[in-house]
Parts: sequence; C-alpha cells; structure tokens
Amino acid sequence: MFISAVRSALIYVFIIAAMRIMGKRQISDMQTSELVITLIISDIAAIPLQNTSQPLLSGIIPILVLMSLEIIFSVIMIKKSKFRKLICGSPVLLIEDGKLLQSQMKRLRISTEDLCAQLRQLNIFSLNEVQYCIAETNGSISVLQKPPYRQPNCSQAKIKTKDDGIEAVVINDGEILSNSLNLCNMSKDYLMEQLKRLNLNKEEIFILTADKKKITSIILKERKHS
Amino acid sequence: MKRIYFAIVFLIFTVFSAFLELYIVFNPAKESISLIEQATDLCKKDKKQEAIELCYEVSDLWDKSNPKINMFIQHEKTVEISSDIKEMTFCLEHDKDFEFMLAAEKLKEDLITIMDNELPHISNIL
Repeated sequence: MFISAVRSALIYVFIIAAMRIMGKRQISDMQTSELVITLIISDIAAIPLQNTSQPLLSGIIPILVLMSLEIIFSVIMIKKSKFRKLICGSPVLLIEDGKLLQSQMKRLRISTEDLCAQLRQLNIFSLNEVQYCIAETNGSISVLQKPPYRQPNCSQAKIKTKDDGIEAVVINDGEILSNSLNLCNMSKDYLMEQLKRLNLNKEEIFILTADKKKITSIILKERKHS
Repeated sequence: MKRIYFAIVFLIFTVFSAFLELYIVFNPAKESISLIEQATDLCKKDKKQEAIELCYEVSDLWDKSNPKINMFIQHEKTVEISSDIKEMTFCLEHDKDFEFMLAAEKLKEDLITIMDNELPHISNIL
C-alpha cells in the first residue's frame, strides 16, 4: 500500500510537470491539475474493476491520495499565488492592439491558424478588430475588441431596462421544482392558484416556466394514443 | 475549507491502511517462515511426524489469515502460497525428502518476496 500511495504521488507530480511542459495547447477547459486528476483517477479506477484478483483497496487508496493532494494543492494555490503560478501558469498576452506577439505565440506553440480559428469561434474575423487577446491558464482565449467593434450595452446606449429575474423551469414533467420556485420568488400556493385559474393540473404539464413576475410559458404533456 | 479536513482524514486513513497491511501480511508470513524452518530441521533429524504436524500448522495459519491478506495482496499470490504449502506437506507425507526441501525453500522465498514487495523501498517504488 505504501508503494501505491507513493507511486500515486509521484505520478501526480510527474504528469503535472509533463502537462506544464506540453503547454496550453494540450488542454482545453480544465486546469492542468484537474486534467491530471481526471486522467489518473479514470485509469486507476479501471484496474481493480477489470482485474478482480486485484484488491479493491489498491484502487481506492491511490484515488484517495490523489483526491487529497488535489484538495491540498488547491488550498495552497488559493493561499500562495506563486504556487498557483507554478502549477497553473499565468495568462499570456497574444495580441495587443491588433498586433500578434510572435514571441509569445512561439513560446506557447500556438500557430496563427489555431489562433484565428479560435477568434472566428468568438465571431471575430479580423485581427484588426482585437485590442487584447489573452491565452488563459485553462487553454481558452479571452478577447477584448477595439472600441469601434464592441457591441454597445444598455447603459452605453442609455436604454432603461427592467430586471424580471431569470426565467426558470418551475414544473418539469408534472413535478414542481422547489429550487426554481425560490428563484422566481414564487410560493407553491400561488403557483397552484394560478394553475387552478387556468383549469390545469400539475400532472398534465410537461414544462412550465416562470420569471419573478409571472408564468411565462406552459407546454402540456402529449396525450398517449391508444 | 472543510474539504481540507477531508483531505487530511484521507491521508491519515491511507497511512493507517499501509501500516495495517504491513501488520496483517508480516505477522503470518514471519510465523510461517519460522515454522517451515523448524519443519526442515526436524526432517533433517528424521523426525517426520513432528515435521508433518508443523506443516499442518502452517497450513492452518495461512488458511486463517488468508481472507485478511486477500484485502491487500493480489489473490494469485495467496493462492500460490496455499498450493506451495499443500505441495510441501504432500512431499513430506510421501517420504520425498528432497522435493520437500525444495518446496519448503520455494515457499520461504515466496513469503519473503511478499513481505519485501510491501516495503516502501526505493527499488519497489521505482
């Protein structure tokens, strides 16, 4: 068991180092340490499941060690920014005022094609539109467009808007979702009253959505054909 | 922040399991090795009946500790040791002294290997 525990810790550190060396291109949305944990845990968990002569504890113990290390690392990362930088890296500026920073792109081994493809996914089709483009620590990119290309928001356009709250699914397949009721600031009694007024039974409803003010839509269940 | 306490508990549990494993594996293995050595000595002195009784004792000891050991060690290894014990006893019961000595040595070697494999040596880790 000592061997499993120590090996797990070694592999954890080893794969984090490997992923850091491989760089941001290799990972998508997860942080490096999260990806490492996901990869190793899925592999370790499969071993005692496939080989029944392998004790289950030899699968559970390494996963516990990895989980604990991940938690401890994440706590240290919150407390120590230098440690976070070491494990996750730091965001890197790729475009400044429409100009590609070639040295940074070489460092991250991101090709212009890859960068342009990612920009196109964000609906940006010209580098000239970009004020800043930053490669985040999880591998995704964030873009701030130049002022003429930015979409104005309501406050810039001086449009007054009301906050009707979020539209939530309150009844799903005949079942009232209490979390959504709280989100809409609606009581169960009020909802039942509204349904009674509409001559509806909650069991008949497939989906009912509401916001802070009112019921916004109702879709009834399809009747079964006999 | 509560998760950090879980992490510490998990790590303590891991260390506890590791020590528990050493205790559960080492005790019967060491005792078995000592009984096998006594049995081979008795066999050399031509006290076969007493040696056979010791072999049965090893077999009983192993059967008793097998379920606990199986929680920590690959089941194939424990099955192999059980069959080695049976072979050793069979050889002694049928006056095959040379084969008995060979089986006893192999059994001792297997038990030592099991113990060695569980120790956190650098060679085992790497």
